[in-house]
Amino acid sequence: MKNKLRLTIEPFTNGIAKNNATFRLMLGTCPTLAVTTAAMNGLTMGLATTFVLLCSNFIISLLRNVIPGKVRIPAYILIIATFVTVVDMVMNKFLPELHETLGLFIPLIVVNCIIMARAESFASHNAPLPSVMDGLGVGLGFTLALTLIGLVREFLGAGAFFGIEIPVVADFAMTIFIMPAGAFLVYGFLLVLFNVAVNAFQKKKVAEAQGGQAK
Amino acid sequence: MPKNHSVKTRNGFRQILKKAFFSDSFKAVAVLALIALVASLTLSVVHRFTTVDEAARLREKIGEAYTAAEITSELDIEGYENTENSVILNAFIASDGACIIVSKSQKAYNAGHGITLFVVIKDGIINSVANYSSAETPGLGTRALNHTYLSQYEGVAAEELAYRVVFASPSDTPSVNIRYLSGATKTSVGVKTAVEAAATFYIREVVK
Repeated sequence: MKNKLRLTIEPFTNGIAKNNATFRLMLGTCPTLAVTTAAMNGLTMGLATTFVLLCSNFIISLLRNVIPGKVRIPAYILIIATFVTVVDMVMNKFLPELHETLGLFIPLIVVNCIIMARAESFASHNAPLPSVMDGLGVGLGFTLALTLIGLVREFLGAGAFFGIEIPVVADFAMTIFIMPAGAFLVYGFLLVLFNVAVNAFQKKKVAEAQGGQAK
Repeated sequence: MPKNHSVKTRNGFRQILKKAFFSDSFKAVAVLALIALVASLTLSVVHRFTTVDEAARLREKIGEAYTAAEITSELDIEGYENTENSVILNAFIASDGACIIVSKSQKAYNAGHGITLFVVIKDGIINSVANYSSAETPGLGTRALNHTYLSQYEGVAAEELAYRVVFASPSDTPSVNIRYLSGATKTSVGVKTAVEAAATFYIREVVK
């Protein structure tokens, strides 16, 4: 029972930290660099991708024994494109300003390698529940990364926090952080920090496990 | 003899059909077709609930941008010759005589999307300028679309801005000075283009 629970929870936690798509696997770099000029953009893009990941993983997992191997890629793209179009239409209706800002990057979620990778490597081989947990974990990990990059870039480049201008910081804003070069700089620094933190945590966990075995 | 032949043919035909029906290719096509059908049905349902009434959205936004009076009529812009890099999308007349012009500039950092503004002109003077639709860089280009920046156009005579476009000779250079924002130059130029286009439309179509 405990093992079953672990197998269900593990894909979720792995997606956020150990196998974080942006900081550990370096996937989905194009939207990561392009839309993170503001924290809100990063958050919205991340949540839109999470929704698509969650739904496509669930459906692909349900149909994993039905879809013939020969046409699995077109079938996955068809499923993913459907959910992306749903997100696009819903955002256009209810969040028109964000929809305009994110522009082309919303339809481009169809070809986001994170979604295709999870469909091909996880959802097509696992049951619906672990697949949903995997989609949720990877999606939230991606959202976390995009929001973090957006926060730093917006703070340094525009002196703002989620669109709210911070009086003194705004006077010393460094425009380069909003520009593409700033995206690479922030991405690089956060990549180092995230990997150092995750590696340290994993080492501590291994040391604890070894200590427990020795006792 | 002919009867036996026809039975044989029928059985052969059945076998071919059976083979085709259970072949991998048929299964693949059937599964793809089924997924496409379900996807189409899902999207048609979602589309039904998310259809955007652009005209209603525009009116709602105009109501937010100009609260002084209600719109009473829409001007006919068909046949209006737009200036280079700008398009007049709509023009309305409010009950207090103000003219609300929806002007789009193709000049922008995100030129594919452009910048669309509401320009309210009352008695020949620009009353207010507000952003309707844009996709400029947040925190950078968007600074040239906030109220603080756009308010520099308030109180400027439409004639002065229109003359920049209509008469390009130096003697007609207007006294009004438009400030550009450092780091948002392209957006600033886009805003100016849209406001100038609106002012020109006002002089050519409303004042006449």
